[in-house]
Amino acid sequence: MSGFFQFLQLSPLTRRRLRRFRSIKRGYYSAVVLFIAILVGFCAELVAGNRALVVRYNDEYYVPLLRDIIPGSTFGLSYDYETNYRELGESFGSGPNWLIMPFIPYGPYENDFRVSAPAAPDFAMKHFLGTDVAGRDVLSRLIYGFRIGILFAIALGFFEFLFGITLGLTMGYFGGRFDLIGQRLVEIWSNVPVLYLVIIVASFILPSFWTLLGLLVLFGWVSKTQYMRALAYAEKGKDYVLAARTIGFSSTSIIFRQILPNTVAMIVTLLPFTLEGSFAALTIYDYLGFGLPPPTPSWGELLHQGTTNLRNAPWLTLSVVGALALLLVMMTFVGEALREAFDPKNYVRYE
Amino acid sequence: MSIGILGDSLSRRLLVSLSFAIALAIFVPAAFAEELPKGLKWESNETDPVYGSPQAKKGGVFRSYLSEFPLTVRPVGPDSNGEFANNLVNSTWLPLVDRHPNTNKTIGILAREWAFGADGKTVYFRLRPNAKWSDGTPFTAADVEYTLSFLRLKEIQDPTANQLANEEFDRVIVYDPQTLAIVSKRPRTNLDYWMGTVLYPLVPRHFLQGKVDKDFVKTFNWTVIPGTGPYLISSLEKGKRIRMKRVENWWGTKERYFQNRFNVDEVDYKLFRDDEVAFEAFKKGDLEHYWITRPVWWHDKTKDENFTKGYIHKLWFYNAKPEQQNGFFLNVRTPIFADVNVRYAFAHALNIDLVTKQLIYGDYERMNEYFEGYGPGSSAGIKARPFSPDKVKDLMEKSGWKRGPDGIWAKGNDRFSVGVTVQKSPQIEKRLEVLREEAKKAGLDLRIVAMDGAAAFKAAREKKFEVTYLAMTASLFPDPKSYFHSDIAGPNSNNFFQVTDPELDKLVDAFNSAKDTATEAGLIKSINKKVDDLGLFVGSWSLPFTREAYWRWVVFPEPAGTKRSDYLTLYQNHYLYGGMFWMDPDLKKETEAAKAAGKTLPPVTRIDTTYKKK
Repeated sequence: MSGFFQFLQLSPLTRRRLRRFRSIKRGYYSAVVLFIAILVGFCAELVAGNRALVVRYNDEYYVPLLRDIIPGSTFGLSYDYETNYRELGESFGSGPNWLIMPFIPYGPYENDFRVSAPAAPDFAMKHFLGTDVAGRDVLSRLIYGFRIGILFAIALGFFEFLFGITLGLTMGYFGGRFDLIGQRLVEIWSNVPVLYLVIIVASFILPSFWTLLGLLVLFGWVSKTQYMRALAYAEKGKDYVLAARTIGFSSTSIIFRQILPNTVAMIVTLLPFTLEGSFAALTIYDYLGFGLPPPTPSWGELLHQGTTNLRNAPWLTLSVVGALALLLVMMTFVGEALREAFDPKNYVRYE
Repeated sequence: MSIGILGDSLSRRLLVSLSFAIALAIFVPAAFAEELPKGLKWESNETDPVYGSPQAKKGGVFRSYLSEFPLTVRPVGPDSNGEFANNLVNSTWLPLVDRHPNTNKTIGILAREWAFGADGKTVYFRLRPNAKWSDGTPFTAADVEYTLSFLRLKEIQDPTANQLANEEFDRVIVYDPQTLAIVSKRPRTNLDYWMGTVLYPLVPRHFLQGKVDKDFVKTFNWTVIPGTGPYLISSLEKGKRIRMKRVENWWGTKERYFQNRFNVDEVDYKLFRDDEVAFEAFKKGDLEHYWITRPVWWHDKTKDENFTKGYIHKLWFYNAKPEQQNGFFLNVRTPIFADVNVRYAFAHALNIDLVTKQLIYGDYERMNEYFEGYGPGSSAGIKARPFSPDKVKDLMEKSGWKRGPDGIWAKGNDRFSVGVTVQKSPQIEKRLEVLREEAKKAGLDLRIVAMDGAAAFKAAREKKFEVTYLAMTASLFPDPKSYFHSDIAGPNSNNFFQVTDPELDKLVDAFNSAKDTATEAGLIKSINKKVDDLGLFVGSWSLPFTREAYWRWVVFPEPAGTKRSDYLTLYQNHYLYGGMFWMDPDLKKETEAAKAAGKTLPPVTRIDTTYKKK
């Protein structure tokens, strides 16, 4: 009965699609790399940060990540603010006390002024991509910025699809006057210039993750309705829909349980492109200064620094443009591969 | 097209001035009814030091740049105070008197002599008989009288000018074409400055009278109004380029304080919307100069061949002007800052010196007092509170706060978490971000509330902030009342602190009724001290210098500017403290030859500390 859940149980069709996807190498490997990147993003604290993972001090173990700050005085230092674990580690030397730092021992907010900022990449100091104009580790900020950006993109994509699918399918399924009026409203709505709106809103409220998300969702769902509406129109004339109607299914049930599963190919195909667009949107707003408030780590903000310091700190631009290009290209590869894998033309046989 | 407009307005101007001269000849005698009071003590000042250099050479086209094209060349009304206005207004129109930029004594500009009336509200002026408008018409007392009525017109759509003209000035009395009096609404110190300098710009009656109607703002958008100053717009290409030429046979060339100044024949402004592009154009040789005060630019962007081979020189010029109030304004009516200890703790939690060292290359100076640069006797010798987590600890514990588990001070449900409202600017935000990280060490959670420029200032005026980071432009004379008086401790005032302190009020009132400048200086000193005791203001940086980069053939005298020169080449021809440089054609040939041959000349970074505060 429920086609949607059949999809999760890997129907033969789905398995075929996945096999096809795996056979498209660049898409498949991009997906694997992206998956790992997202995983790293979510556990960013283990990879990059100024808090030690584990400290062994006077036969006691501390896990600074899991709790509030540990003041320096706990480890016999002279201050009450949060321990500087890098320095602590150096002071331990080869004694019985030890600690493990993340691979990149710098937090995204921390200013390192041991060399004057911005500093070029330096492997000895573990600034693998250098520091920015405020002395913050570029790689660390890239990782944390990626986490925020991808979370933002996922949330934006989710809400856009939620509203876009619901409204699009409903309009397509019912058709008639509802569709006619709905379409006109959608047309009006889609003509609102979102960039200006964000600029205007940013002039009187402080943009935050949620306000920016809300604003972009408000106008982002529109494009999705068009696809879903067209699909619903095509599907509703098919036999299974007529059958369901004859048996006496409710409209809601027909839309979401019968038609929706048959549009999965479209949704899955659109997904990577939506994520890509959303990530790029956040980067653009940050670049223009209308995105997330400082000091949030952000690729757009880093790009802005890069362009204003193109000659004296080229590593800023190189890092962020490289990362951005890589990310967007990989997302496109995944999207293309998915589209190809889900392309019905490979499987439908007309007799 | 633009040339057509100019030509047209020129002929109209001639016609108008001609008919006006005739009208003046017929009707003038009846106008001078009032008698000049007897026993006036006329003062003049033709003895203070001159500051133009006798070595100056006249001539040359100085190619400069604009980062935004002006929306109008009117000196008043909407959109009339953009970036270019600074160049335009101050090199086109002159006031009656001003203060000598080095000695701070009054000097005559359009007026030759002045005298104070017995009522403490009137200043009499005798004009220079040779003063002329750029179209050749003599400058007379009638122009001053007309200016006041002009600035009061609703049609100019300039509420600030209207308000000033209505509230400060009572009337202008014309005795004869060369003699007049300006009457203030109330007695005040520095009356000659208020009456003779603040009534500005002085506009030509013969050109404007009868033309100011409801469309004035529109019809005069691109009309070049004659001026009394050294330069006048000679051509306009909207959105691209503006040229200002030195007025032919300018009346002021021989006047004492104008000698050897305004040396270039023409300033040619081109529009460059992007700083980086302008800088590249400068290095290519398309511009004569580049304003390079920003530390990153000065230190990091001046390393290429043009600089190392000595074709482009750099100048770091210290001035001694009143400093803008730049720093953190604490709102004492917010619950957290009701406690003075917390206000002190906030000051001790800001590691401003670290930012100066790391982000500003140590170039800027720490602002220690609220009113700085107002001359001897006005400084209380206060040093800004240094960054010190220990001092923060003492102060917070004294007021019963404890460090919370997140390292931030807490008391009951309150956290030592403070929002700093700031105008959006990547540069300022970076500095605050470093302060924020350092403040954590002192147990302060500093939140950066970056807002659009206008919105941030509105929030500040409406007192919707805990701390606001601002830079308030300094006036030539301090105005403590507008910042500290309890009468205005509410929305829509510059009492950002919302402070209501009886003692401070007393000092401010005393300042406003002070009779002489020594008393005023003493009171400013006491006010500085009191403001520091109340912990209202945490000064950030003062910028007592300007820095310029210029091709080797641009020459500056010794010293390169005056105490009040805040720019040397950017707003280059300010009537009072600009126009001291010149262009040397021989040096230009020499430099161009050297550059073509790849020859190295001695690189020059000149640091002029003549006026640097010790």
